[in-house]
Amino acid sequence: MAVSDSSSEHPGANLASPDTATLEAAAEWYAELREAAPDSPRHGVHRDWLDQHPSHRQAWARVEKLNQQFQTAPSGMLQPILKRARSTRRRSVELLLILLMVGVGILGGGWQAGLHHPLMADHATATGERRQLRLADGSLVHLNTGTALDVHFDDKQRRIHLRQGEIQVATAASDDKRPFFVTTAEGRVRALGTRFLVRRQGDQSRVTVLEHAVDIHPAQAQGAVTRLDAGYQAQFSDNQTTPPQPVTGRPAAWVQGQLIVSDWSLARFVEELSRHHKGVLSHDADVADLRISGAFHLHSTDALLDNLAGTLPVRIRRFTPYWVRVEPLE
Amino acid sequence: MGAENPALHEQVHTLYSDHHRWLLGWLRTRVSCSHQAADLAQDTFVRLLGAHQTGNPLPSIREPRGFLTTIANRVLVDWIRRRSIEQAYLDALALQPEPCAVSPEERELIIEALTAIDRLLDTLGERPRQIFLMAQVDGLSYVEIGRRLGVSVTTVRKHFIRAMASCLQQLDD
Repeated sequence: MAVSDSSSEHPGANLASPDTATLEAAAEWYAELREAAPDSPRHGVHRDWLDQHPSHRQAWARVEKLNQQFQTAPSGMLQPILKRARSTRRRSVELLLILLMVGVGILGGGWQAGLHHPLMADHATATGERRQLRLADGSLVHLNTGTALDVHFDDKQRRIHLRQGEIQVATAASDDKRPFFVTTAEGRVRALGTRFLVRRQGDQSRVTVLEHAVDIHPAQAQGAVTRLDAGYQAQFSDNQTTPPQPVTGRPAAWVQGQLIVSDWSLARFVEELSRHHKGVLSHDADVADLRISGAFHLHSTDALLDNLAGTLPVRIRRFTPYWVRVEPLE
Repeated sequence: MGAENPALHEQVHTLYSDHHRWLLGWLRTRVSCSHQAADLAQDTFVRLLGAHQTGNPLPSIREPRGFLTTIANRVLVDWIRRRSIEQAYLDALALQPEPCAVSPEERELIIEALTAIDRLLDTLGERPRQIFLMAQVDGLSYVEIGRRLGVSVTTVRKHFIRAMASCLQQLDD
Protein backbone atom coordinates (compact mmCIF):
# COMPACT_ATOMS: atom_id res chain seq x y z
CA MET A 1 0.00 0.00 0.00
CA ALA A 2 1.37 3.41 -0.92
CA VAL A 3 1.50 6.22 1.58
CA SER A 4 0.18 9.64 0.61
CA ASP A 5 0.85 8.93 -3.04
CA SER A 6 -1.45 11.69 -4.18
CA SER A 7 -3.59 14.48 -2.88
CA SER A 8 -6.63 12.20 -2.92
CA GLU A 9 -9.05 12.97 -0.12
CA HIS A 10 -10.55 9.51 -0.37
CA PRO A 11 -7.85 6.91 0.01
CA GLY A 12 -8.97 3.50 -1.13
CA ALA A 13 -11.54 4.72 -3.63
CA ASN A 14 -10.83 3.62 -7.18
CA LEU A 15 -12.70 6.51 -8.68
CA ALA A 16 -13.43 9.51 -6.50
CA SER A 17 -17.13 9.97 -5.78
CA PRO A 18 -18.70 13.22 -6.93
CA ASP A 19 -18.27 15.88 -4.26
CA THR A 20 -21.11 17.59 -2.43
CA ALA A 21 -21.11 20.63 -4.71
CA THR A 22 -21.43 18.44 -7.83
CA LEU A 23 -24.28 16.44 -6.32
CA GLU A 24 -26.04 19.66 -5.38
CA ALA A 25 -25.58 20.94 -8.92
CA ALA A 26 -27.08 17.71 -10.27
CA ALA A 27 -30.04 18.13 -7.89
CA GLU A 28 -30.54 21.68 -9.14
CA TRP A 29 -30.42 20.57 -12.76
CA TYR A 30 -32.97 17.91 -12.05
CA ALA A 31 -35.24 20.39 -10.26
CA GLU A 32 -35.01 22.77 -13.21
CA LEU A 33 -35.40 20.28 -16.05
CA ARG A 34 -38.47 18.59 -14.62
CA GLU A 35 -40.37 21.81 -15.26
CA ALA A 36 -38.58 22.86 -18.45
CA ALA A 37 -40.38 22.67 -21.79
CA PRO A 38 -39.17 19.84 -24.09
CA ASP A 39 -37.72 22.38 -26.53
CA SER A 40 -36.10 24.56 -23.85
CA PRO A 41 -32.51 25.60 -24.63
CA ARG A 42 -31.68 24.58 -21.05
CA HIS A 43 -31.51 20.93 -22.16
CA GLY A 44 -28.55 21.83 -24.35
CA VAL A 45 -26.87 23.68 -21.49
CA HIS A 46 -27.42 20.63 -19.31
CA ARG A 47 -25.76 18.38 -21.92
CA ASP A 48 -22.77 20.74 -21.96
CA TRP A 49 -22.62 20.53 -18.18
CA LEU A 50 -22.57 16.73 -18.39
CA ASP A 51 -19.66 16.89 -20.83
CA GLN A 52 -17.68 19.26 -18.68
CA HIS A 53 -16.39 16.67 -16.22
CA PRO A 54 -16.70 12.91 -15.64
CA SER A 55 -17.94 13.59 -12.12
CA HIS A 56 -20.95 15.45 -13.57
CA ARG A 57 -21.94 12.31 -15.47
CA GLN A 58 -21.35 10.25 -12.37
CA ALA A 59 -23.63 12.51 -10.32
CA TRP A 60 -26.27 12.36 -13.03
CA ALA A 61 -26.04 8.56 -13.08
CA ARG A 62 -27.15 8.70 -9.45
CA VAL A 63 -30.16 10.82 -10.43
CA GLU A 64 -31.07 8.12 -12.95
CA LYS A 65 -30.53 5.41 -10.38
CA LEU A 66 -32.88 7.17 -7.99
CA ASN A 67 -35.50 7.58 -10.71
CA GLN A 68 -35.13 3.91 -11.51
CA GLN A 69 -36.05 3.08 -7.93
CA PHE A 70 -39.07 5.36 -8.05
CA GLN A 71 -40.17 3.78 -11.33
CA THR A 72 -39.90 0.30 -9.87
CA ALA A 73 -42.04 1.23 -6.87
CA PRO A 74 -45.79 1.37 -7.56
CA SER A 75 -46.46 5.12 -7.61
CA GLY A 76 -50.11 5.01 -6.58
CA MET A 77 -49.36 3.02 -3.45
CA LEU A 78 -45.96 4.42 -2.58
CA GLN A 79 -46.94 7.10 -0.10
CA PRO A 80 -49.48 5.05 1.87
CA ILE A 81 -46.94 2.21 2.05
CA LEU A 82 -44.15 4.41 3.39
CA LYS A 83 -46.51 5.98 5.89
CA ARG A 84 -47.82 2.67 7.13
CA ALA A 85 -44.36 1.11 7.35
CA ARG A 86 -43.14 4.02 9.45
CA SER A 87 -46.01 3.78 11.86
CA THR A 88 -45.62 0.00 12.30
CA ARG A 89 -41.93 0.51 12.98
CA ARG A 90 -42.71 3.01 15.69
CA ARG A 91 -44.73 0.37 17.48
CA SER A 92 -42.31 -2.45 16.81
CA VAL A 93 -41.41 -4.56 19.82
CA GLU A 94 -38.08 -5.56 18.28
CA LEU A 95 -37.10 -1.96 17.80
CA LEU A 96 -37.90 -1.25 21.43
CA LEU A 97 -35.69 -4.15 22.46
CA ILE A 98 -32.85 -2.78 20.38
CA LEU A 99 -33.13 0.67 21.88
CA LEU A 100 -33.16 -0.76 25.39
CA MET A 101 -30.17 -2.94 24.59
CA VAL A 102 -28.13 -0.05 23.26
CA GLY A 103 -29.05 2.05 26.26
CA VAL A 104 -27.87 -0.58 28.73
CA GLY A 105 -24.70 -1.11 26.74
CA ILE A 106 -23.75 2.52 26.94
CA LEU A 107 -24.45 2.72 30.65
CA GLY A 108 -22.51 -0.48 31.27
CA GLY A 109 -19.62 0.93 29.29
CA GLY A 110 -18.18 -2.55 28.95
CA TRP A 111 -17.64 -2.59 25.22
CA GLN A 112 -16.34 0.86 24.57
CA ALA A 113 -13.79 -0.28 22.02
CA GLY A 114 -16.50 -1.73 19.83
CA LEU A 115 -18.95 1.09 20.32
CA HIS A 116 -16.50 3.74 19.28
CA HIS A 117 -15.25 2.02 16.20
CA PRO A 118 -15.91 4.07 13.05
CA LEU A 119 -17.52 1.01 11.45
CA MET A 120 -20.50 1.66 13.65
CA ALA A 121 -20.76 5.35 12.79
CA ASP A 122 -22.99 6.82 10.10
CA HIS A 123 -20.10 8.83 8.65
CA ALA A 124 -16.36 8.44 9.19
CA THR A 125 -13.01 9.56 7.85
CA ALA A 126 -9.78 7.57 7.92
CA THR A 127 -6.48 9.02 9.12
CA GLY A 128 -5.38 11.73 6.71
CA GLU A 129 -8.81 11.98 5.12
CA ARG A 130 -11.08 15.00 5.26
CA ARG A 131 -14.58 15.17 3.93
CA GLN A 132 -17.64 17.36 3.84
CA LEU A 133 -21.19 16.34 4.41
CA ARG A 134 -24.34 18.27 3.54
CA LEU A 135 -27.16 17.50 5.96
CA ALA A 136 -30.81 17.27 5.02
CA ASP A 137 -31.53 20.75 6.40
CA GLY A 138 -28.75 22.28 4.31
CA SER A 139 -26.22 22.56 7.14
CA LEU A 140 -22.65 21.78 6.16
CA VAL A 141 -20.37 19.59 8.25
CA HIS A 142 -16.65 19.18 7.59
CA LEU A 143 -15.01 16.07 9.05
CA ASN A 144 -11.33 16.32 9.94
CA THR A 145 -8.97 13.32 9.95
CA GLY A 146 -9.98 10.25 12.00
CA THR A 147 -13.52 11.40 12.70
CA ALA A 148 -16.71 9.42 13.23
CA LEU A 149 -20.20 10.77 13.74
CA ASP A 150 -23.87 9.85 13.63
CA VAL A 151 -26.71 12.00 12.37
CA HIS A 152 -29.99 11.94 14.28
CA PHE A 153 -32.61 14.11 12.67
CA ASP A 154 -36.25 13.83 13.64
CA ASP A 155 -39.35 15.99 13.98
CA LYS A 156 -38.11 17.62 17.19
CA GLN A 157 -34.39 18.13 16.75
CA ARG A 158 -31.37 18.07 14.52
CA ARG A 159 -28.54 16.31 16.29
CA ILE A 160 -25.04 15.18 15.37
CA HIS A 161 -23.28 12.80 17.72
CA LEU A 162 -19.50 13.16 17.48
CA ARG A 163 -17.89 9.86 18.47
CA GLN A 164 -14.31 10.84 17.81
CA GLY A 165 -12.22 13.38 15.91
CA GLU A 166 -13.17 16.92 14.94
CA ILE A 167 -15.88 18.64 12.94
CA GLN A 168 -16.75 22.10 11.75
CA VAL A 169 -20.47 22.76 11.66
CA ALA A 170 -21.99 25.58 9.63
CA THR A 171 -25.72 25.55 10.28
CA ALA A 172 -27.94 26.56 7.41
CA ALA A 173 -29.58 29.95 7.54
CA SER A 174 -33.04 28.49 7.22
CA ASP A 175 -36.54 28.66 8.61
CA ASP A 176 -36.03 25.31 10.33
CA LYS A 177 -37.45 25.62 13.84
CA ARG A 178 -35.88 22.43 15.20
CA PRO A 179 -32.94 23.07 17.56
CA PHE A 180 -29.50 22.01 16.34
CA PHE A 181 -27.21 20.09 18.72
CA VAL A 182 -23.80 18.49 18.61
CA THR A 183 -23.50 15.86 21.33
CA THR A 184 -20.37 14.07 22.55
CA ALA A 185 -19.75 11.62 25.39
CA GLU A 186 -19.15 14.69 27.57
CA GLY A 187 -22.28 16.68 26.87
CA ARG A 188 -24.25 18.81 24.47
CA VAL A 189 -23.53 21.92 22.42
CA ARG A 190 -26.49 23.89 21.15
CA ALA A 191 -25.92 25.94 18.00
CA LEU A 192 -27.38 29.43 17.97
CA GLY A 193 -27.29 30.18 14.22
CA THR A 194 -23.62 29.62 13.82
CA ARG A 195 -20.31 28.17 12.63
CA PHE A 196 -18.17 26.32 15.18
CA LEU A 197 -15.67 23.52 15.75
CA VAL A 198 -16.05 20.59 18.11
CA ARG A 199 -13.11 18.32 18.82
CA ARG A 200 -12.89 15.29 21.09
CA GLN A 201 -9.62 14.68 22.94
CA GLY A 202 -9.49 12.01 25.62
CA ASP A 203 -12.39 12.65 27.98
CA GLN A 204 -12.70 16.30 27.00
CA SER A 205 -14.57 18.08 24.24
CA ARG A 206 -13.30 21.39 22.92
CA VAL A 207 -15.57 23.95 21.30
CA THR A 208 -14.36 26.89 19.21
CA VAL A 209 -16.92 29.40 18.02
CA LEU A 210 -16.18 31.13 14.71
CA GLU A 211 -19.50 32.92 14.17
CA HIS A 212 -22.41 33.80 16.46
CA ALA A 213 -22.64 31.69 19.62
CA VAL A 214 -23.27 28.28 21.19
CA ASP A 215 -24.48 27.02 24.57
CA ILE A 216 -22.51 24.24 26.29
CA HIS A 217 -24.25 21.77 28.62
CA PRO A 218 -21.93 19.19 30.23
CA ALA A 219 -23.89 15.95 30.62
CA GLN A 220 -23.54 15.61 34.40
CA ALA A 221 -23.68 19.30 35.35
CA GLN A 222 -27.36 19.80 36.14
CA GLY A 223 -28.55 22.94 34.42
CA ALA A 224 -25.09 24.52 34.16
CA VAL A 225 -24.94 26.27 30.78
CA THR A 226 -22.00 28.22 29.39
CA ARG A 227 -22.66 30.69 26.59
CA LEU A 228 -19.69 30.86 24.24
CA ASP A 229 -19.48 33.74 21.75
CA ALA A 230 -17.62 34.07 18.45
CA GLY A 231 -13.86 34.30 18.88
CA TYR A 232 -13.84 32.17 22.05
CA GLN A 233 -13.11 28.56 22.86
CA ALA A 234 -13.68 26.36 25.88
CA GLN A 235 -13.21 22.74 26.94
CA PHE A 236 -15.70 20.67 28.81
CA SER A 237 -15.69 17.36 30.61
CA ASP A 238 -18.92 15.64 31.56
CA ASN A 239 -19.29 17.79 34.67
CA GLN A 240 -17.71 21.17 34.00
CA THR A 241 -16.69 23.72 31.41
CA THR A 242 -13.42 25.69 31.53
CA PRO A 243 -13.68 29.50 31.40
CA PRO A 244 -13.85 30.80 27.80
CA GLN A 245 -10.47 31.74 26.26
CA PRO A 246 -9.92 33.92 23.19
CA VAL A 247 -9.25 31.88 20.03
CA THR A 248 -5.62 32.00 18.95
CA GLY A 249 -4.28 31.17 15.49
CA ARG A 250 -6.42 29.56 12.81
CA PRO A 251 -8.01 26.45 14.30
CA ALA A 252 -10.33 25.95 11.30
CA ALA A 253 -7.58 26.06 8.64
CA TRP A 254 -7.87 22.28 8.17
CA VAL A 255 -11.22 22.86 6.45
CA GLN A 256 -9.12 24.30 3.59
CA GLY A 257 -6.59 21.48 3.98
CA GLN A 258 -4.10 23.60 5.85
CA LEU A 259 -2.35 23.69 9.18
CA ILE A 260 -1.55 27.27 10.14
CA VAL A 261 0.64 27.77 13.20
CA SER A 262 2.34 30.69 14.82
CA ASP A 263 5.27 30.19 17.18
CA TRP A 264 4.43 26.62 18.11
CA SER A 265 6.95 24.25 19.68
CA LEU A 266 7.99 21.45 17.33
CA ALA A 267 6.62 18.97 19.89
CA ARG A 268 3.13 20.46 19.61
CA PHE A 269 3.44 20.67 15.84
CA VAL A 270 4.41 17.00 15.53
CA GLU A 271 1.58 16.00 17.84
CA GLU A 272 -0.94 17.88 15.73
CA LEU A 273 0.52 16.52 12.51
CA SER A 274 0.45 12.94 13.76
CA ARG A 275 -3.35 13.06 13.69
CA HIS A 276 -3.09 13.34 9.90
CA HIS A 277 -0.24 10.90 9.41
CA LYS A 278 -0.85 7.23 8.67
CA GLY A 279 1.48 5.43 11.04
CA VAL A 280 3.78 6.50 13.85
CA LEU A 281 5.17 10.02 13.83
CA SER A 282 7.47 11.00 16.68
CA HIS A 283 10.27 13.44 17.50
CA ASP A 284 13.56 13.43 19.36
CA ALA A 285 13.54 15.27 22.72
CA ASP A 286 16.41 17.49 21.50
CA VAL A 287 14.23 19.15 18.86
CA ALA A 288 11.05 19.44 20.96
CA ASP A 289 11.56 23.11 21.78
CA LEU A 290 12.40 24.41 18.31
CA ARG A 291 9.89 27.11 17.30
CA ILE A 292 7.85 26.91 14.14
CA SER A 293 5.47 29.24 12.26
CA GLY A 294 3.83 28.99 8.86
CA ALA A 295 1.05 27.61 6.70
CA PHE A 296 1.36 23.94 5.72
CA HIS A 297 -0.61 21.79 3.30
CA LEU A 298 -2.06 18.72 4.93
CA HIS A 299 -2.65 16.66 1.79
CA SER A 300 0.75 15.00 2.10
CA THR A 301 2.30 14.80 5.54
CA ASP A 302 5.43 13.31 3.92
CA ALA A 303 5.96 16.30 1.65
CA LEU A 304 5.24 18.57 4.61
CA LEU A 305 7.91 16.86 6.72
CA ASP A 306 10.49 17.06 3.93
CA ASN A 307 9.69 20.74 3.67
CA LEU A 308 10.29 21.07 7.41
CA ALA A 309 13.79 19.70 7.02
CA GLY A 310 14.54 22.59 4.65
CA THR A 311 13.67 25.29 7.17
CA LEU A 312 14.65 23.85 10.56
CA PRO A 313 17.85 22.14 11.73
CA VAL A 314 16.20 18.73 11.63
CA ARG A 315 16.27 15.63 9.49
CA ILE A 316 13.41 13.25 8.80
CA ARG A 317 14.26 9.64 9.45
CA ARG A 318 12.00 7.00 7.90
CA PHE A 319 12.40 3.57 9.39
CA THR A 320 9.46 2.38 7.30
CA PRO A 321 6.92 4.48 5.42
CA TYR A 322 4.73 4.25 8.52
CA TRP A 323 7.36 4.95 11.13
CA VAL A 324 8.81 8.42 10.88
CA ARG A 325 10.90 10.37 13.36
CA VAL A 326 12.02 14.01 13.43
CA GLU A 327 15.63 14.16 14.67
CA PRO A 328 18.32 16.83 15.16
CA LEU A 329 20.48 17.46 12.09
CA GLU A 330 23.74 16.28 13.65
CA MET B 1 -11.72 -7.04 -2.92
CA GLY B 2 -12.16 -8.94 0.33
CA ALA B 3 -9.16 -11.16 -0.27
CA GLU B 4 -6.92 -8.10 -0.13
CA ASN B 5 -7.37 -7.93 3.59
CA PRO B 6 -6.25 -11.24 5.08
CA ALA B 7 -5.92 -9.77 8.60
CA LEU B 8 -9.57 -8.78 8.62
CA HIS B 9 -10.63 -12.19 7.30
CA GLU B 10 -8.61 -13.85 10.02
CA GLN B 11 -10.23 -11.63 12.67
CA VAL B 12 -13.75 -12.27 11.41
CA HIS B 13 -13.06 -15.98 11.15
CA THR B 14 -12.03 -16.06 14.81
CA LEU B 15 -15.11 -14.10 15.84
CA TYR B 16 -17.23 -16.47 13.82
CA SER B 17 -15.90 -19.68 15.32
CA ASP B 18 -15.93 -18.33 18.88
CA HIS B 19 -19.26 -16.51 18.94
CA HIS B 20 -21.50 -17.53 16.04
CA ARG B 21 -23.53 -19.95 18.11
CA TRP B 22 -23.90 -17.43 20.92
CA LEU B 23 -25.01 -14.69 18.51
CA LEU B 24 -27.59 -17.04 17.07
CA GLY B 25 -29.04 -17.58 20.55
CA TRP B 26 -29.06 -13.84 21.17
CA LEU B 27 -30.90 -13.19 17.92
CA ARG B 28 -33.42 -15.94 18.63
CA THR B 29 -34.60 -14.05 21.67
CA ARG B 30 -35.36 -11.10 19.39
CA VAL B 31 -36.95 -12.66 16.34
CA SER B 32 -39.46 -15.45 16.56
CA CYS B 33 -38.28 -17.48 13.57
CA SER B 34 -35.05 -19.47 13.87
CA HIS B 35 -34.35 -19.41 10.10
CA GLN B 36 -34.58 -15.67 10.29
CA ALA B 37 -32.16 -15.59 13.21
CA ALA B 38 -29.70 -17.69 11.21
CA ASP B 39 -29.92 -15.30 8.25
CA LEU B 40 -29.43 -12.29 10.49
CA ALA B 41 -26.38 -13.87 12.12
CA GLN B 42 -24.95 -14.53 8.66
CA ASP B 43 -25.63 -10.94 7.59
CA THR B 44 -23.86 -9.67 10.70
CA PHE B 45 -20.63 -11.44 9.74
CA VAL B 46 -20.94 -10.40 6.11
CA ARG B 47 -21.18 -6.81 7.29
CA LEU B 48 -17.98 -7.19 9.29
CA LEU B 49 -16.21 -8.36 6.15
CA GLY B 50 -17.50 -5.26 4.38
CA ALA B 51 -15.55 -3.19 6.90
CA HIS B 52 -12.44 -3.17 4.72
CA GLN B 53 -14.17 -0.73 2.41
CA THR B 54 -13.96 1.94 5.09
CA GLY B 55 -10.19 1.43 5.15
CA ASN B 56 -10.23 0.64 8.85
CA PRO B 57 -9.22 -2.66 10.40
CA LEU B 58 -11.43 -3.84 13.22
CA PRO B 59 -10.29 -2.55 16.61
CA SER B 60 -8.71 -4.91 19.11
CA ILE B 61 -11.98 -5.97 20.62
CA ARG B 62 -12.16 -6.25 24.37
CA GLU B 63 -15.79 -7.31 24.39
CA PRO B 64 -16.40 -9.22 21.18
CA ARG B 65 -19.97 -10.05 22.12
CA GLY B 66 -20.89 -6.46 22.79
CA PHE B 67 -19.27 -5.54 19.51
CA LEU B 68 -21.15 -8.23 17.61
CA THR B 69 -24.49 -7.33 19.13
CA THR B 70 -24.00 -3.70 18.12
CA ILE B 71 -23.47 -4.74 14.51
CA ALA B 72 -26.29 -7.28 14.78
CA ASN B 73 -28.56 -4.48 15.99
CA ARG B 74 -27.88 -2.54 12.80
CA VAL B 75 -28.67 -5.61 10.75
CA LEU B 76 -31.86 -6.05 12.77
CA VAL B 77 -32.92 -2.44 12.23
CA ASP B 78 -32.51 -2.92 8.47
CA TRP B 79 -34.47 -6.13 8.65
CA ILE B 80 -37.28 -4.45 10.59
CA ARG B 81 -37.38 -1.72 7.97
CA ARG B 82 -37.65 -4.23 5.16
CA ARG B 83 -40.26 -6.32 6.91
CA SER B 84 -42.42 -3.29 7.71
CA ILE B 85 -42.27 -2.26 4.05
CA GLU B 86 -43.05 -5.77 2.88
CA GLN B 87 -46.08 -5.98 5.16
CA ALA B 88 -47.34 -2.54 4.18
CA TYR B 89 -46.95 -3.47 0.50
CA LEU B 90 -48.90 -6.70 0.88
CA ASP B 91 -51.62 -4.85 2.78
CA ALA B 92 -51.81 -2.25 0.03
CA LEU B 93 -52.05 -4.99 -2.62
CA ALA B 94 -54.90 -6.62 -0.73
CA LEU B 95 -56.78 -3.31 -0.78
CA GLN B 96 -56.59 -3.02 -4.56
CA PRO B 97 -60.07 -3.24 -6.17
CA GLU B 98 -58.72 -5.44 -8.98
CA PRO B 99 -56.55 -8.37 -7.99
CA CYS B 100 -53.21 -7.84 -9.73
CA ALA B 101 -50.76 -10.60 -10.47
CA VAL B 102 -47.23 -9.81 -9.41
CA SER B 103 -44.54 -12.41 -10.00
CA PRO B 104 -42.25 -13.25 -7.06
CA GLU B 105 -39.30 -11.65 -8.91
CA GLU B 106 -41.25 -8.48 -9.54
CA ARG B 107 -42.39 -8.40 -5.94
CA GLU B 108 -38.82 -8.72 -4.72
CA LEU B 109 -37.72 -5.80 -6.93
CA ILE B 110 -40.61 -3.63 -5.79
CA ILE B 111 -39.98 -4.29 -2.10
CA GLU B 112 -36.30 -3.61 -2.56
CA ALA B 113 -37.00 -0.30 -4.27
CA LEU B 114 -39.52 0.71 -1.59
CA THR B 115 -37.04 -0.17 1.16
CA ALA B 116 -34.28 1.81 -0.52
CA ILE B 117 -36.55 4.86 -0.91
CA ASP B 118 -37.69 4.58 2.69
CA ARG B 119 -34.07 4.52 3.87
CA LEU B 120 -33.10 7.49 1.69
CA LEU B 121 -35.93 9.59 3.08
CA ASP B 122 -35.12 8.73 6.69
CA THR B 123 -32.99 11.78 7.38
CA LEU B 124 -35.44 14.30 5.93
CA GLY B 125 -37.77 16.37 8.09
CA GLU B 126 -41.54 15.98 7.66
CA ARG B 127 -41.99 18.98 5.37
CA PRO B 128 -39.13 18.39 2.89
CA ARG B 129 -40.12 14.75 2.73
CA GLN B 130 -43.69 15.63 1.86
CA ILE B 131 -42.63 18.15 -0.77
CA PHE B 132 -40.18 15.73 -2.32
CA LEU B 133 -42.78 12.97 -2.63
CA MET B 134 -45.45 15.31 -4.00
CA ALA B 135 -43.07 16.36 -6.75
CA GLN B 136 -41.31 13.09 -7.41
CA VAL B 137 -44.20 10.64 -7.04
CA ASP B 138 -47.34 12.66 -7.72
CA GLY B 139 -45.58 14.69 -10.39
CA LEU B 140 -47.03 17.98 -9.11
CA SER B 141 -45.53 21.31 -10.16
CA TYR B 142 -43.81 23.53 -7.61
CA VAL B 143 -46.64 26.03 -7.96
CA GLU B 144 -49.25 23.39 -7.23
CA ILE B 145 -47.34 22.03 -4.22
CA GLY B 146 -46.91 25.57 -2.89
CA ARG B 147 -50.63 26.18 -3.29
CA ARG B 148 -51.60 22.98 -1.47
CA LEU B 149 -49.20 23.48 1.40
CA GLY B 150 -49.54 27.24 1.65
CA VAL B 151 -45.84 27.98 1.15
CA SER B 152 -43.93 29.94 -1.46
CA VAL B 153 -42.69 28.38 -4.69
CA THR B 154 -39.13 29.31 -3.68
CA THR B 155 -39.49 27.31 -0.46
CA VAL B 156 -40.88 24.32 -2.34
CA ARG B 157 -38.04 24.42 -4.86
CA LYS B 158 -35.44 24.82 -2.13
CA HIS B 159 -36.75 21.86 -0.12
CA PHE B 160 -37.01 19.74 -3.24
CA ILE B 161 -33.40 20.42 -4.26
CA ARG B 162 -32.13 19.75 -0.77
CA ALA B 163 -34.04 16.49 -0.49
CA MET B 164 -32.79 15.43 -3.90
CA ALA B 165 -29.19 16.30 -2.98
CA SER B 166 -29.51 14.38 0.27
CA CYS B 167 -30.72 11.28 -1.63
CA LEU B 168 -27.91 11.58 -4.19
CA GLN B 169 -25.36 11.82 -1.43
CA GLN B 170 -26.52 8.55 0.09
CA LEU B 171 -26.51 6.59 -3.18
CA ASP B 172 -23.49 4.64 -4.38
CA ASP B 173 -21.92 5.15 -7.79
